[in-house]
Amino acid sequence: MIGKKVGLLLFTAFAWSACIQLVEVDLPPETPKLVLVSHFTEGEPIRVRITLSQPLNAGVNVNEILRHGDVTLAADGIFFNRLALDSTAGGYLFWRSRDLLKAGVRYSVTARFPGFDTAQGSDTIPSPVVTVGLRIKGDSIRVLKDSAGLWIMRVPVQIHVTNLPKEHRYFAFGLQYELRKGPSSGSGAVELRPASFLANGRTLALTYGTPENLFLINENYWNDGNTSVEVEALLPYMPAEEHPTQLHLEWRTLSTAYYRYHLSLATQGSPLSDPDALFNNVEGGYGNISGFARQRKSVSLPQ
Amino acid sequence: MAIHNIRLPKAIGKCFFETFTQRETAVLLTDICVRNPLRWQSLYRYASFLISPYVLVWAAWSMCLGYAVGQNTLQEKRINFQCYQCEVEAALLQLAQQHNLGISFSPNFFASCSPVTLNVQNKALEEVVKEITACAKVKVEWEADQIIIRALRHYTVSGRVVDTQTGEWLIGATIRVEGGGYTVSNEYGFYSLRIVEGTHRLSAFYVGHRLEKVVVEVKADLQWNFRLTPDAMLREVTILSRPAKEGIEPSASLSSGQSLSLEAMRRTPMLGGEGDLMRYATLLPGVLTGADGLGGLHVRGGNADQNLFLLDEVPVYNPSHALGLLSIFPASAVNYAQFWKGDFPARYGGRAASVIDIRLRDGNGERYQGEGAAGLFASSFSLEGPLLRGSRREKSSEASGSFLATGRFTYLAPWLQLLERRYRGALFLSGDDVRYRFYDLTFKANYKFSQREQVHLSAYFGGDAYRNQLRQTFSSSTAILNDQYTLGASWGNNIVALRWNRILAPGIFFKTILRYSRFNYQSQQDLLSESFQFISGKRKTVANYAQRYQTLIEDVSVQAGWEFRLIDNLAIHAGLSYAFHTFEPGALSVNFLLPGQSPLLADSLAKTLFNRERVRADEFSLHTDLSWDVWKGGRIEAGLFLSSFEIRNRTFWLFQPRLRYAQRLGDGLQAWAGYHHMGQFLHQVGTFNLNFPFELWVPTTPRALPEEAWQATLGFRLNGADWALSVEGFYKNLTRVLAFRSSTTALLSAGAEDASGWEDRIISGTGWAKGIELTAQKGWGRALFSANYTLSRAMRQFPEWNAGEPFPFRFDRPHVLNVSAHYRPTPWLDISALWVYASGNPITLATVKFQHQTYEENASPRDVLVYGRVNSYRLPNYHRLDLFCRFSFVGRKCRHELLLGAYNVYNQVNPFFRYIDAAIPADAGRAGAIQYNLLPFLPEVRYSFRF
Repeated sequence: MIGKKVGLLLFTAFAWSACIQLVEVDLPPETPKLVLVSHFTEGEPIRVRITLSQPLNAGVNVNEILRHGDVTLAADGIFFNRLALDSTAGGYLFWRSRDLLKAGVRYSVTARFPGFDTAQGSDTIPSPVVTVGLRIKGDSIRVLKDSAGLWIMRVPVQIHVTNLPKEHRYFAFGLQYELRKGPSSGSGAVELRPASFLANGRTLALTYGTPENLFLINENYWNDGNTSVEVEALLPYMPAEEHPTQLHLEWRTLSTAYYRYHLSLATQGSPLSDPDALFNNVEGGYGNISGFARQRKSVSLPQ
Repeated sequence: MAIHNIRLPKAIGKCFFETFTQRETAVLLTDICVRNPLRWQSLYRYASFLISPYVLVWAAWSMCLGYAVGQNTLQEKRINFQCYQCEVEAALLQLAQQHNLGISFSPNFFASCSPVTLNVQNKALEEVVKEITACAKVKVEWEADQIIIRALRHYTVSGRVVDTQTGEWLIGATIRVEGGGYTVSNEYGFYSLRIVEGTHRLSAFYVGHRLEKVVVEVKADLQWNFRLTPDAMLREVTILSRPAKEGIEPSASLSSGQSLSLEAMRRTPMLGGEGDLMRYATLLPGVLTGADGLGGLHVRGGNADQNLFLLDEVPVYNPSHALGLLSIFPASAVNYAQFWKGDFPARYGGRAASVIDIRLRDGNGERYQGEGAAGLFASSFSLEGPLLRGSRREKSSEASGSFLATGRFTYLAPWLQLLERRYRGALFLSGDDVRYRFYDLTFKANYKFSQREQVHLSAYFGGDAYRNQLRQTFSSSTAILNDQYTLGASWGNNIVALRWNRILAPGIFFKTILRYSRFNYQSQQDLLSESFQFISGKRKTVANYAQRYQTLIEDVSVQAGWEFRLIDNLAIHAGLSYAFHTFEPGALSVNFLLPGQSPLLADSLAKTLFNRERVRADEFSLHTDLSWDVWKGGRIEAGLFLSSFEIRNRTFWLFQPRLRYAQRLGDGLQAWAGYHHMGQFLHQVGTFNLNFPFELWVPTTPRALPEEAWQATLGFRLNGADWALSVEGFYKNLTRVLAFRSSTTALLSAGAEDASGWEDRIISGTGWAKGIELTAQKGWGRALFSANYTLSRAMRQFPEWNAGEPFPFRFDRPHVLNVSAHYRPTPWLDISALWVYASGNPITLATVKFQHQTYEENASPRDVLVYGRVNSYRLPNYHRLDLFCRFSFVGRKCRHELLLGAYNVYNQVNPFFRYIDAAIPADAGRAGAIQYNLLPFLPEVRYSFRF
């Protein structure tokens, strides 16, 4: 009897032994390449992050910041600036141009670092093509109270655009809210925080979050004569020490390279999503060099 | 035919005679020459002879004979006749003029005749007329000095082909006229032949039945029902060479399409030991699928939703259980299945890749019988018998009915729990209580008012259900929080069809169908959260809500069709249909079971996502197709399918011409070529296009235009005495292939993605496929070997995918080889083996990664995986070996079968999915990946009985 049981156990173990397993996959051999990432706009210098591509199983913090090389910027094919290494307050290093950029000019970034292939990417800053309006439905604002003492202001927001072009409807938007710190009517410090939002299923499915805390809007969103984005912004705050005062909208008109790069990124990270080939406009390397135009709108929140 | 021998008394004379035949009549020519004149001396003897009984008989016979000879004088008149390149009409007139004859005919009889040249000497007039008129189907009548020529009349012989033991119509039986043409019974057992008047020998042949031969005299339209007797031995033996040996045309061998032989299916090892149409179809050349059948059928590079599955002429939207591992069609209930890989006749429409037309059995109309089976995973039963026997039957001997009921249910729970215990945390299987089951219920009843008229009622109800419950407990110093999640999904088909058919007239068959088909997928995700406070000792419900997701497609349709067989070798089908479609593409809703105590997110969902969009559409279609045996060994199949689709006040049209020509080139050799245009208004779109039940069925809209495809084929087949070889090449072009852009920001519920905005998430592309398919079969004694090989490529191209560059289709497998062997050493033992090999499926893998980081204030770094090209990586090649033995025993009242076998005998690890996990350490140049494998070694034990 015991022998039969052992036999059955062995048999079932053998039967299901191959369901899930860890394997190693041979990847095509590839030497590290330069990675250029920059989104640039009018009236600002270009700032390019230059790193190296890594093996898939490399750790998170192994991005090597390249310091010794030659990075140049050309405008419409003519040398414009040599970029210099700069750093942000957070310690990130960027290659920065001295002069400010203009719309309609094709800028090319060329990076030469010893031991690596030369990488080059180029794009143009588009002009804003739509007029943007921002409106909130003040009478529909609600405040929900969390058991932990956090309050969440829910603000219905309508972003309305006019003069939509028929093609290249490449846009992104971001919402921020201004928090005044301190007593309710005092003149304390002001803090800007990105706002998340809720929306109907279609809007959620056709907008994609980007690392810049903006939301890319699929160009098909504007089908059927749709000219507005309606969301319900969520503004959490601690009522004892914070008060939301303003809602800011940043609206971006994107170049094709900007839009397609982030659209290809949007297929990554979901188990239900079939990955797409990464859009890459950097020759000799990886990354994205792309321009955008920025518009800003603000509305005051009712106190 | 009787031949009369004439023996005359030699004393009188010698009679020279000769005989010949003219059709069914014996003709005697006599020439009596008296060689020995009468002698006076012999007068007495002569006189006595004259009155002898012999002479009296002879005299009487001679008088009759003389009368007959006199009647044939004109026909036997010896003439000379010359005519060089004369029209038939002119030759006949010349003949009449030269020999002073009256002649009557219509020049129309000879309109298609070529000029004749004759130079005859001393030849019977009848022979001469016969030679002149040989080119036309005419009959010559002789009256005195008149020749009357009239056209032979054609009559229709029609009827049904019936199984004697069960009373069921036999579909695809071959009915042949000896020395003439042949036809094949249609889906209702109806056949019709046009035959010239006269006596003919007809034969009917059907696989597994005895050949039936009859002689019929055709003088008018004739109804004749063939009753074929099953032959148990024939049913079991290899019939590869039988048609040639029997002199029977392989049933419609020049026709397009391929019969999914139930006998061949029984000979092939199948998962679970039960014959399965879909799994059998995946073994055919040109049919691709995922590992172990997962992902449905992909015929010649087409998507899974481009296959039209018809169950008793009703479209089936989800033809499989267990995500494609098993089909919903119970083998014991299937009478006949025909499969077209794109070259389907125009009477089929609505899909762009293939048609599988499955007909259920009517049930035994003669006696009650049943069948039961039990295996490791499922059990099934069937019961059938006559309906309305007794008084009604006595009133009308032709009226009869029968029914068939089958059922199948699974008991997979123990296996899943075993799997869950072993792989806690794996996809979909993590939980405390995992359950999965599926079931099928099929019912069919028919009533034959007469041999000309019949009504059928068919119904199918089947579905799958999955449930998984998870519990989590969080404790603190003051309270315990218990969360209970329940994930569930259920899906299935409901199908009903009411069909009425009637033989309107000899050669005209009519059918009409009222049908209903519904496929529904529902999933749910429930949360019940309760807390227990230690201090107060109170229990409190923190949250109780349920998300529901539903997608469905529902059709109500009516169809009428006619089949005309009024002209020699020509069959015409015509029909029209109307369908009213209802779609509910993936709506997600939230229900609160405890109002006011819901978490914030669910509250928001309730407000914003309650969406039960229903889309309705009207589809109308007309079709006509013909199959015409234009000349000896040549067959044309041509047709047109025209359909319209109206939705939201917009109308879309599809115009689908189809043409195929087949030619018999010699003994056992035939070749064919075809062009077929197909299209469809209904689409199943999903991220994976795997034919998963939660993928959406959506209609054509202005932003999801109809899918279309055209296919060109060229092939030949060579049949020997005990072997067959078939080669077919194809090229297929697909336009507006649709895919669904999944979104990482769309809401999910129990694994399903909210489909709001589906029209704007569909992307449209193109595709093409090309390949060569080879089939070889060889019979060897009691063994049969067969091999199917496909060399093909299938590609896709989407402007919004893979940077607009073409990429391999997910089911692109360049090489697919299936080899099977069946051996039957004794009548009670069958041994079968099947080896399957296929190139690995292409998948998309990342090769390197980098960090995306911009200068902007709110930006955060993100790891970006560099996916080079879509589907540029291939999984390892797929292969496995299946074996089984079937033991058959015949008891007193039952026939028993015991099947012992194994699936994937050598336990080959065949991955169906693989993804790279950067957290898994790997050597340089390699990456760690998680691989999901589907079916390892599985034993098969199945017992069945029939009574």
